[in-house]
Amino acid sequence: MKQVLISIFFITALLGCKKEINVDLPNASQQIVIEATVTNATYAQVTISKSVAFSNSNTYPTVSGATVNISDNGVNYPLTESKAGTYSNNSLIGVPGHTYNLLVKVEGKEYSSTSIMPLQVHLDTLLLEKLFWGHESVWVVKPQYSDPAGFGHYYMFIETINSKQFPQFWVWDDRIVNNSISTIPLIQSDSTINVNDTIEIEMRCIDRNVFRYFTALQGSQNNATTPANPENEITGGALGYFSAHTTQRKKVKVQ
Amino acid sequence: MQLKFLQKRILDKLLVTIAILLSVQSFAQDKHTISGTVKDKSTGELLIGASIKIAELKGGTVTNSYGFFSITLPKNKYKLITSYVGFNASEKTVDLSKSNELLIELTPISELEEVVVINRKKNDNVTKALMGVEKLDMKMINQLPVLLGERDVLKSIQLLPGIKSAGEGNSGFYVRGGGADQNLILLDEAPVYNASHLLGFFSTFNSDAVKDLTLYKGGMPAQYGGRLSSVVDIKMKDGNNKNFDVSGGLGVISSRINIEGPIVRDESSFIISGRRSYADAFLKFSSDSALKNNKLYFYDLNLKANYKLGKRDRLYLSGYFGRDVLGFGETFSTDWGNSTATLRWNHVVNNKIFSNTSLIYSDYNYNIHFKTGSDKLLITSQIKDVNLKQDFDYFINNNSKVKFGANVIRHTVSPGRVEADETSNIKSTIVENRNSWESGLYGSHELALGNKLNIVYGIRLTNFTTIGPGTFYTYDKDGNRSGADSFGKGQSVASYWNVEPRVSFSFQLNASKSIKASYNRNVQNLHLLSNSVSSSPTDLWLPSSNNVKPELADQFSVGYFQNFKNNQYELSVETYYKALQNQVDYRNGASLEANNNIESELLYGKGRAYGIELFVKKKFGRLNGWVGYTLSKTERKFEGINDGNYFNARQDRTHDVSVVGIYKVNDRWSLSSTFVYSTGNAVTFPGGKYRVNNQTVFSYTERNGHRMPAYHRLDFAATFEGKRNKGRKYQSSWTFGLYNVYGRENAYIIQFKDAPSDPSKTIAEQVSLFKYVPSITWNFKI
Repeated sequence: MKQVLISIFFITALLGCKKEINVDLPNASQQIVIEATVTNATYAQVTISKSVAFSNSNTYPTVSGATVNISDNGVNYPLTESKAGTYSNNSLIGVPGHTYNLLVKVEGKEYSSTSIMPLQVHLDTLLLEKLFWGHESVWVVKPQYSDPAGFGHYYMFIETINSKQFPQFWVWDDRIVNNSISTIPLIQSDSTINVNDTIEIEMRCIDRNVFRYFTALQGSQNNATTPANPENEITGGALGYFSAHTTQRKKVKVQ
Repeated sequence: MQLKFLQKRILDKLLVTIAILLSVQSFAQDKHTISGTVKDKSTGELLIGASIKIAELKGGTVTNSYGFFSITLPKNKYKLITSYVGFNASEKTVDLSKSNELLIELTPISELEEVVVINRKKNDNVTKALMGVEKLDMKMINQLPVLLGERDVLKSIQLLPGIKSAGEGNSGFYVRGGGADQNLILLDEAPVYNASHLLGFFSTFNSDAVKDLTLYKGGMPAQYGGRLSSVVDIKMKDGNNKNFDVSGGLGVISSRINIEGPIVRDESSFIISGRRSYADAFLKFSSDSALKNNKLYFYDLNLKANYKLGKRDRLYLSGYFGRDVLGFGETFSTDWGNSTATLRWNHVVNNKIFSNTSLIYSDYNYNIHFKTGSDKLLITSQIKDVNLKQDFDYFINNNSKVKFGANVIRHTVSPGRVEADETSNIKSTIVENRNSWESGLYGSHELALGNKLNIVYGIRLTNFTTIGPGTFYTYDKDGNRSGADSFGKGQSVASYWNVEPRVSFSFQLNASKSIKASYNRNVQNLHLLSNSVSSSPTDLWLPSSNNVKPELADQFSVGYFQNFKNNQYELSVETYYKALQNQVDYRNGASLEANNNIESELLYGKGRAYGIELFVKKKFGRLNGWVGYTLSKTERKFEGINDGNYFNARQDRTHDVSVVGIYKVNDRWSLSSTFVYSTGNAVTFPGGKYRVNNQTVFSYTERNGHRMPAYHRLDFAATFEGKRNKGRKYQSSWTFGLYNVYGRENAYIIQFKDAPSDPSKTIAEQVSLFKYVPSITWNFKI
């Protein structure tokens, strides 16, 4: 909301100017980053990397030699390093409703986390609409699904345009659309959809902690709030998240 | 229970002390009272804070907010000297053989005289006990250079020490380390909840309709309560009760028209003042059809009328309506604004006691309309106040004056309501309304002890009670819901009593030097939740409840005041220390909109602020103006932020300088210029970066551990008065302005992102607004 208002003002003010500047940022110490997922469709995967200084290029050192284990009600699924910093287990396909525990041992430290895979909400279809927004009309995709009764359902959407992941994601809960059909649009901050593009949407049903993690991450990244590292449920002080979520993909061609 | 008992004990004790102090004054003697009002002779406007001195004695009094005064003296002949900034002083000899009523009319100093009249004795700033008070002369405000030529009282006060702008071109401000929501902004006694237009770039106060602005940054008198850090008391003009006047202006951003005149000549008057911006009018000329359908404007309408009911009674009715409208074709539109109304009844009980009864209404709300496909949404939020207030001024004698009164406010907060069309899939959601009562009882005594010591002491007793109906939740320390209670209509959910002592005194070292000190406690029961870095119309007011405790502030200040060269120059040095309790912040990732569990998102902490303010002002002469400097520190402390250590608040700026100069070249031309410099805001910049979800994400270490670049800017304005023909009322003037004369690119925000040209790199990008903004305004008066 706020972002929309601010951008409206910027558009209309026409007085602003942007320039690249040098900011002297002290290098923070390198931190472990864990990105761990269990899904109901594909295998479990954990990537471990490290943060770098702001002035570095966007290449992140991978962390090898970790012991990674995910357990489901006492059953252990060890993950093996399939390529540098990426650990996976092909036999671990998640079951909605189950609780998963992650344990990572690396560089003499232990990190653990828990996530509950929510029950799957079915993505019915993808609708397309042309919105008149600002100076231009833009295409938006509207995923349609039926939110189940009761509060506490959390959704995340990832958009891929012509096989390229769009650098923005959407998370919301069922506060506004509860127990009803949702067609909330995925509005892009910089619109990039054109006629004849093929768009793939991945819909994830995520748990509350992951929802809060991504909401906070989004707020921090787009200057809407005082930035801070989003709180995650990983003990031991690593960045990143552990999410057990359902996943479903659908494609649509813009025409 | 014990606390209540203690509070009652303290109150009893204070009442006894007051009684003793009052009785000291009233030893038997044949005394009489002069009472009356002070007015502007040309328009009949009542003058607020005009000083009345008795030549034969030390001491005197000042008129109250309704221009009323009263002085009681032993039987004798006296010479009364009445003075007010911008007016010729008047001398009147009165024979006090019996009580007298008096109407004192002052004539405004003509433009020409203004530069030569310097022999006025005006040392109230030294002698009065109140400190941390700033009163701005509207005439001066109207000459200062401003963004886009839009005169603005709230931006002008930011040029004073201790008051900091909330951002580039912003009408929001921070006082002595307080938050932007900790300022009580009153328009004819009605609180204005969102005092800005266009996301803060303009304030809601049309300076055509403003008569007087007084700002208290410390030592708040006991009649004010409800906010922690300052009171901005704005009084609207009453309207000319002698002649009809039409004035107005055309500017870059908006046009204004002001009509005032008598209802009954010399007795009652009205004023209507309107302003509308027209940025959207230009959009209509756009060849872009999408742009054509966009809306962007704001308007203000100020209305006021007063009516004299009899010799002792006068009624005032004033109202303000303002709104912003922003819209993008059919998809999205939003509008927000304040409405206030005040009905007041002035009654002169007798020649020593003045009574005012006010019924006040204030409403702030916003609407957001959103439409996509079959979904049509309306999101609304509102805060509404109804306030009944009774104040008494008791002028005991020329050394002693008492103010006392009480008020009760009913607050209704509707935090969020989502209304959807029937065809829409989105369900209507209503966050429960929150109702509360806020009541206050106060007494304050202004006393001169001997020739050197002046004291104002007072106390304010307040209660805030949040009542049902509604469901109120309790939360554990992680913000998870741990219980729920349903309350019936009118049932008390949480009730807070607070005692707010206020004391200030001045000790005069000689006629032109004094030292002053003050202590005050303030309580705030309405908390503004804003999860963003700039003010937004959707920021939410939340009342104290079972979870949210009243915010408290204790402020101590000490100052030295001196006038030089026959009061032509004024110098002050003030230091302050402020301790804040129960400050509110939000958790990371909090969603504040339409959230029934909003209180689960909050964190509570404390704060401290201290600083020193230097101020040198040249009050008269061809060249006048001031230099202000503030050295300060502002910190906050929250469990869960910055490992529980103190961190710099966003508005912590070490150095703050402002220089204001107005030069009268001749009777047609005047020039003015302002310069400001301040240390950059404390902000949080990334300490590193990593990758999540195939995107670059920044990591942060310390909250507000970095600084924005220093902010500085020079503005300039020139005013040209049209020729004045004798016998013709018509006057006009042109004001030419240049904002940001040397084109400094001040950082509005700095954002970090992947380089658009090279995604393997990240860059810092600075956004600046307003580089060399010229303006031209034409004002007229018929």
